[in-house]
Parts: sequence; structure tokens; C-alpha cells
Amino acid sequence: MAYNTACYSSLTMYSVCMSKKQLVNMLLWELLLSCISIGLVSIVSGFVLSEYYLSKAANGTGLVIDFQFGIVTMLVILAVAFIIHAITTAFPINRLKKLNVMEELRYE
Amino acid sequence: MNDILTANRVSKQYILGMQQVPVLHEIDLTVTKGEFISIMGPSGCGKSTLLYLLGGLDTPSSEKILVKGKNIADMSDKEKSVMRRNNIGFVFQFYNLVHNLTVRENILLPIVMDGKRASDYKQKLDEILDIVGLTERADFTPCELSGGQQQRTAIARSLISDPELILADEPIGNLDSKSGTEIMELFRHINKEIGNTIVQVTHSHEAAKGT
Repeated sequence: MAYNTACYSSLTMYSVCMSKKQLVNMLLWELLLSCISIGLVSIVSGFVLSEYYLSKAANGTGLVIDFQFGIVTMLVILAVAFIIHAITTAFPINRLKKLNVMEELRYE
Repeated sequence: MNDILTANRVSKQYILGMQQVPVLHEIDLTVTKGEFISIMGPSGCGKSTLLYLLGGLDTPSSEKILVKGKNIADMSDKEKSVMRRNNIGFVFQFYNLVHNLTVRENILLPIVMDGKRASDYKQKLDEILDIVGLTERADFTPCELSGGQQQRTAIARSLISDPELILADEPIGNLDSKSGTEIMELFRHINKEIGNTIVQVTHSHEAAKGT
């Protein structure tokens, strides 16, 4: 669904106002911004949930859980977010490079 | 000197498997400022192909197309996109609007992509919304509009950068007859009152009347 929306929007933008290079740049910027924002949200929400809610809930039952956050964990989260987004961005970019505008517009 | 667009012996062929399939053969066409031209013909005869070639969306197999004296074949993809933003307005059969943008944002798309400030175009946007009759729908998304209203949005988008030439591919091909008649009246109004040159591809004799 997201893939089709990205392809349709790219076709629309190309047909009225953008070059293929601009579209590829736009998709790459979206990739960078979305993986940074998702990575940050994941890190912050993970920290808040574990430190303030899960720990307290576990303490209530007598369990003591000591959550630890290292820089490596955070970098792994960012890397995973980046890889997932890179894969989902690669498909529209690949299709964009092979875009046959005539066919796409005609059989849209 | 008033020629906006000139096509000299333009041909186009596609390669299907091992075969070359000719679509257009040595087409000559001159479009003069202020004209409203309809290109008609049966399905598959290459009308839309010719229109996309004229607008730089596709590349001819031979000879040249001049838009305001510049040969499209000599332009880079970036130069063609600048030409589509500033000199040519496109209207498509299936509207080609961005679904998650509002009517206002869709209309301003060529302006924003050209690096201009949308706020500088507020008055022009209001005038165009008034011309196409979408003032009340400016903050709706395409999904909330009828086909006719979506096509009006596409026409408004084609007008925002004040292009001399508007290329329309079957602009009423996806509309009911009432909406189609309204869209054609709008095109005639734009051609007569604003002075934009229009080249449309159509099946409809009704749409071609008065062009």
C-alpha cells in the first residue's frame, strides 16, 4: 500500500513538476528523516516504558528488573530502523529509475 | 514569431520483443499563441504519445520538437522538469493529484517544487480557485472531491505558474457528460479570457467543438 502510494505520488510529481533525480533525492531525505524520527521515538519510549512503568509493575509483584541502556543498544535500534526503511525505499527508487511514464500514465 | 510549439517530422517507435512498432510517423505540427487545438483519432493511433512527446514526458525517436524555440531533445531531465513547471501546464485523464495533499497544496505543488514561496502566490491562488469554482473546497483532499472537481483542481494546478501552453490528455475521458461539458466550458473560458494556448487530445466530438 505504502509502496503503491509512493510510486503513484512519484509519477504525479514527475509528470507535473519534478525530475527523476529530484524524486530520488526526495525519497532519500524521507528515508533519513523517518529513520531518525522512528529511532528516536523507539529509544525514548523504550526508556520511559521500561524505567517508569515496567520496573514499577515488576517491583509491585516482588520482581526486581534492572533495565540497562547502552549506546550500543541505541545504535543497533537506529541501524535496524535505517535498514528497514532503506529496504522499503529501495523499491520505489528502483521502480522510479525504470519508470515508463507513458505506460504508467496510460494504465494508471 | 508567435509559434509556441513546433514539431518537425516527429516519429516514435517502440520496441516490443525483437520488433519495432511504429506509433507516430513524421508528424509536423505548429501551435500558435492563443490557439485551442484538439487532436482527434481512434484509440491506439498515438494521440497521447504525441502529447507526451510535446510535453517532454517522452523522447521522440527522430527529429525535433521545439518549445518556445528550445529543442526538447537537447534538454536534460532537470531542464525538462523546469519547463513542465514553468512553461507547460499538464492536465491528465486520471487527474494525477497527490492524494494526501489538499486542493490548495496540490495547486501550489509546481510553485513549491520550483523553490518559490507559496505565500507569494496567495492572491493568484485565490483568483484561480475562483475561476475553477473550488474556493469552498480548497482545504479538501482529492478523495473528498467528485471527478469533475478533481479535474478542476488539476486545471488550477496547470494554471498556477501562468504557462503559455496547456496540454490536456483526454481531460473529460473519465467524467460524466455534465461534468465533461463544464470542464470544456472552463477550458474555453481559460483560452478566451486568460489567453492560454491549449492542445487537447480527445475522442469526443462534443469536446472538440469550438476548438
